[in-house]
Amino acid sequence: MNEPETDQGLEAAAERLVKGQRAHPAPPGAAGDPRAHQVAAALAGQRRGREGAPAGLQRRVASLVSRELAQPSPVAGPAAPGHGSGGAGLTRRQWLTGTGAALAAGVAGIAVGELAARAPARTPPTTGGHRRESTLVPSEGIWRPVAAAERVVAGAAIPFVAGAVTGMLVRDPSGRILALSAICTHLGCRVRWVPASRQFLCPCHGASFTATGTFAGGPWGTAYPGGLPPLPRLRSRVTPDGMVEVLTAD
Amino acid sequence: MASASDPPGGPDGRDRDQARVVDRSVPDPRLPAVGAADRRRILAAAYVAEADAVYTFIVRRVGSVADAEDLTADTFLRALRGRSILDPSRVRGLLFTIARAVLAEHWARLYSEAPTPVGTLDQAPDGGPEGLPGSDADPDRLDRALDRRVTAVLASLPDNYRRVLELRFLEGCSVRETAKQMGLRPGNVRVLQMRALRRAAGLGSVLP
Repeated sequence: MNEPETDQGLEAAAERLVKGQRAHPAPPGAAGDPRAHQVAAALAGQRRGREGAPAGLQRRVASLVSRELAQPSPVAGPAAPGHGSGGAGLTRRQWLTGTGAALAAGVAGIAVGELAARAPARTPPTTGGHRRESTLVPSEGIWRPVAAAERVVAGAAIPFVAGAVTGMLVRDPSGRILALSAICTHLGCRVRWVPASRQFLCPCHGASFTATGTFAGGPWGTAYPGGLPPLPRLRSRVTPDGMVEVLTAD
Repeated sequence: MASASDPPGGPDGRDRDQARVVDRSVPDPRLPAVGAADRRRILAAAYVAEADAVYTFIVRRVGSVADAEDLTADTFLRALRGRSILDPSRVRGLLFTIARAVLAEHWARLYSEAPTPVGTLDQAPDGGPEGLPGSDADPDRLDRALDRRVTAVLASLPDNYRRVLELRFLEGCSVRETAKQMGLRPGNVRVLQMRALRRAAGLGSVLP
């Protein structure tokens, strides 16, 4: 290829990525290969992604969401025409400086803190005897919609992933929806639902659990020494819209 | 209403009893009566719950924290201002679909002369359904594809190319540090880094 040995634009972009700085438009005259820049971005992104979201991001999003939802009528069509930098620009600055957060929460009538942590704090359940069912209640919980309640029919288990938890929705014998952790209490593999036997089966060592999460025995009827704790229950509720929500940590 | 009176489980009486739980005319007794304000709260919570995931999805693709914060704000703004979504279960799909569009525009803006197709690093080699417009994006699947792609790109580079990219971008070393670690002069590191990025970008079989 006859590409120049140096590429000021790409080199500058690479340097900014390593230093964690904002990207700028590629200068005119640069070779301008976006794919090379994207490779550098994806590599730097591996590192940045592991660092997790910046502190306060969720709070800032909460204020933005409450402010926007407080607008009486949605604008028809996309908000920002063109490249999305027109109308969004001003709000972006508010977002960056953090102004308007308290204001917005007041306007919307939604306390930001309430959105960020809507669940009452509770002490973690003590692990007692194995027969006792435990309910997993995160200390900083948030209700997340996981499935339409009408999908949860008797004899089926609907898998879901919500924030930190992986679980299954089932109907208990009284017809109520039950949210169970799908993580085997033996060594942490994810259990599967076996419709034929209406049991959860752990693929790793064959432990099975009843439809309500109680330990039902090991493979070929063997009992684990001392049995296993039941699958933890998650707090769940059904919204008026018919959505099952599960209380989870992020 | 129709769905509540006609459960998929079957028309027998037992299932009808169970379906009553989801009947909108019979609110869940565990919930207090819900008005428009509560409805808005529930919807807002569904948006807020995705904040960190949307940011992480974006930062993994733009590599810069500041850009990712901006684009996260853009994503939420666009989702909310064009909002036709009042169903909390659809919020996640909507947000990630918009996030992908916002990312594509970000790249197109940076390289205004050469607009980039959506998700250059994301698409499955065979152009899977994820690349089709109109379908909700599945971020977990897209992230797995991205990781595979990054791993494959690194694995197919010559050792010194791979090393310079690892030191610079995965570990965040300066040119000087990288030069020291590789026993090169800083000028050589700059050239090597450019060659490595171009080679990685040109790996046609790996990067579509």
